Amino acid sequence: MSEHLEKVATLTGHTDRVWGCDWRHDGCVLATCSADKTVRLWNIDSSGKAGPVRAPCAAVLNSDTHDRTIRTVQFSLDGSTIAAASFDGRTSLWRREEQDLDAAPDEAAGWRCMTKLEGHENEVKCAVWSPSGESIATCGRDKTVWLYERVEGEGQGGKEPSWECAAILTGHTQDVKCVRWHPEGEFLLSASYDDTIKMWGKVTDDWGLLHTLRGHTSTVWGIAFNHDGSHFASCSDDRTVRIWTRLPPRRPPAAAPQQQTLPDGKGKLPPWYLSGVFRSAVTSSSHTEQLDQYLQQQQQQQPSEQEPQEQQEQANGVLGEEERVEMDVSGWRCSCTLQGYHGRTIYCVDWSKQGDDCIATACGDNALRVFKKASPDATEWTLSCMQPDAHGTDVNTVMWRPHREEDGSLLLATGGDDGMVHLWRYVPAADAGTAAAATE
Amino acid sequence: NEASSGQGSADDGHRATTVGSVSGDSSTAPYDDFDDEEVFELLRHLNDPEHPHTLEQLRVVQMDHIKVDNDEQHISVQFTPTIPHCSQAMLIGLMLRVKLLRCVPDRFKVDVSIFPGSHNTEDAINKQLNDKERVAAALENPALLSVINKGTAHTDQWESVLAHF
Repeated sequence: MSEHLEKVATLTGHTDRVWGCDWRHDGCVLATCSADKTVRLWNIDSSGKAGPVRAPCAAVLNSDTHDRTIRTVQFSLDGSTIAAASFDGRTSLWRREEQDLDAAPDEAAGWRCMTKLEGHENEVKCAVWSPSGESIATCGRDKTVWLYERVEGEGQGGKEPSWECAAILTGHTQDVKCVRWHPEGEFLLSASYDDTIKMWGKVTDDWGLLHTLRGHTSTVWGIAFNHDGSHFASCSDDRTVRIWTRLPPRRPPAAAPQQQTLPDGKGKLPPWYLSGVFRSAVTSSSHTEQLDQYLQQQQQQQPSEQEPQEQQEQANGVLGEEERVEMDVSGWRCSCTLQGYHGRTIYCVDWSKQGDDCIATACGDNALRVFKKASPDATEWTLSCMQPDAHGTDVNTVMWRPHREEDGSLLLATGGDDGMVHLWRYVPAADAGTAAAATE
Repeated sequence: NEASSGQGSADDGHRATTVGSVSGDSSTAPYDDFDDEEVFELLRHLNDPEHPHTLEQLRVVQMDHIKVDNDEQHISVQFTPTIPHCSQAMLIGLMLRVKLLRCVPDRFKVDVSIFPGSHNTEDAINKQLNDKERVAAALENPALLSVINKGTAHTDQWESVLAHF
C-alpha cells in the first residue's frame, strides 16, 4: 500500500478554536490549547498497530488562570511542567502535584499553575523551553522576545524555582509569532509579522541579534528544526514553506587565520569560531579561557595586518548588523521553497523527530500535508500525502508524535478552528516504512 | 429558499448554530448556495463608526465589490473608505469581518480587503484584517468589541429580504 494518511482519533472537548498542541516526550500525553482559555491533556494509548487510537481527556487546565485565549502550550523536556502562553500577556507554568492525588479528584487531575511569567505588554504568542530546561523564551505582539531564566527558590529548598527575565530582545518591527530554540540550545529563532526570521544568541556575555533571514514575502507563522538542528523549515502567509540549511562554515576574507590550532592543540580553530554565538557554545570554562588567550594573542600578533579593525571587532564579538550578514557566520541559506501546494496561509509546520525528514503543514485551506525529501541526499522536497479536509475549517497546529509506531507509521496531531483535535496515522511508502521499522 | 437560508444566520450568528451543518458529509448534505446579494444584505445596514449613516449609504459597501464563489466556498468583500486617509478604515474592516464571522457558515473562507486604490495604507490594513490571530486578539478587547457590537447591532433587516417574495 502506498503512503497515505488516515484519521485514527477525534478528540472533542474544546469549545472554541484550537490554536496549539504539543506531545510529551514519551508520546503518551498530548496537550492542546484553545481560545476557550483552557489547556486539555489527553492520554494517548496507541497499540502501535493500524486502527483507531484511544485518546481520553485526562485533565482540563484552566481555573481562572487566564482570562483570554491560550495560544501555545509546551511540555518541558522532562514532561514535568507545562508552559502555556496567553493573549492576556502572561505565560503560566503548570506542574502536577503528586500529593494531590489523595485530594478530591478534580478536572485538572492535580495540575496546578505554579508561576506566571510576566513582562509582555500584551498578547504572548509563543512560549518555548530551552533544551536544558533552564530557560524559557516567549514572544508577543509587543515585538519583543523575552528570555526567562530559572533561579532556585530563595533559601527554601524543594520549593518551586522562580524565574527571572534574563534578556529582552528587540529588533523585530512587528509582532513576533513564533519562537524556537536550536535543539542544542545554541541560539534562538523568531518569526514575525514583519516577514523576517531573526536569529538571536550570545554576543559575548549578552544576548543579541545575530542574523536576519529574509525571503518570505508575508508574515512568517511558524518554524521547526529538524532533529539535529542542521536544517529548519519556516511557513508563511505567503503560502510557501522554506527549508533553510546550515552551510559549512565559511572562511572570512583576507585576514583570516590560516593554520591556527587551538591552544590546547586539539585541532584547528575555524575562523567562524570567533563569532559570539559559537563562543557561547563552549561550555567548559577552561576552554573559554584558552580561547580568550588565543584571541588576545591574535590581536597582539597581527595588529598591523589587513583589516585590523575587523579583526578587533571579531575578537570582541561586536559587529554591526550589516557586517554580520556579510560574514554569514552561521551560514543559513534557503535551500528549497515549497511553492504552489498551499491554498491559503500556512499556520504551522513541524519536522518529524525521527531523522527521516518528513515535514507536516497546517494550512488555512483546511488541509494537512506531509512533505518528504525527493531522495535522502536531495535538497528538493515533494508532497508525499495530503488530507484535503483534515478539519472543516482552518488547521492551526500540527505536531508529530515523538516516536515511531511499531508498524513503522508515524502519528500526528492537528487542531483547527472547529475546536477539534484529530490524530492521524502517516504510513510512509511501503519500502521506506519497512526499512525504517527494521532498523529500529 | 432565500428566506429560510436567511433565517439560519439571522439570530445574530452564534457560531454554534452553523457548526452543525458543517460537520456533515458534503456529498450527502448539499448546502444552500449563498449569493452576492445575501452577503450584501448582511453588510449593508452596518453603521459607520463616525457618521449616522449605514455603510451602504456611504457607499463603503457596494454590491459590485462582493464576490461569492460557492464552488470554492470563498467570499471576498472589498470596501471603499470614504476618504483615502480614513482613520476608521481598520475598524470598518473589522466590523465587516466580525459580521461575516458571525453570520456566514464556517465552511466559507472570507477575505475582507480595501478596494484597490481607495486608501493610503491599504496594504498594511489588508494584512492586519486578514491576520486571524490579530483579529481574534482584537475581539477579546472589551472596549473594541463593544464598539464593534454597537456598529453591528440591529443590522439584520430581514424585511428587505422578504420583499423578494
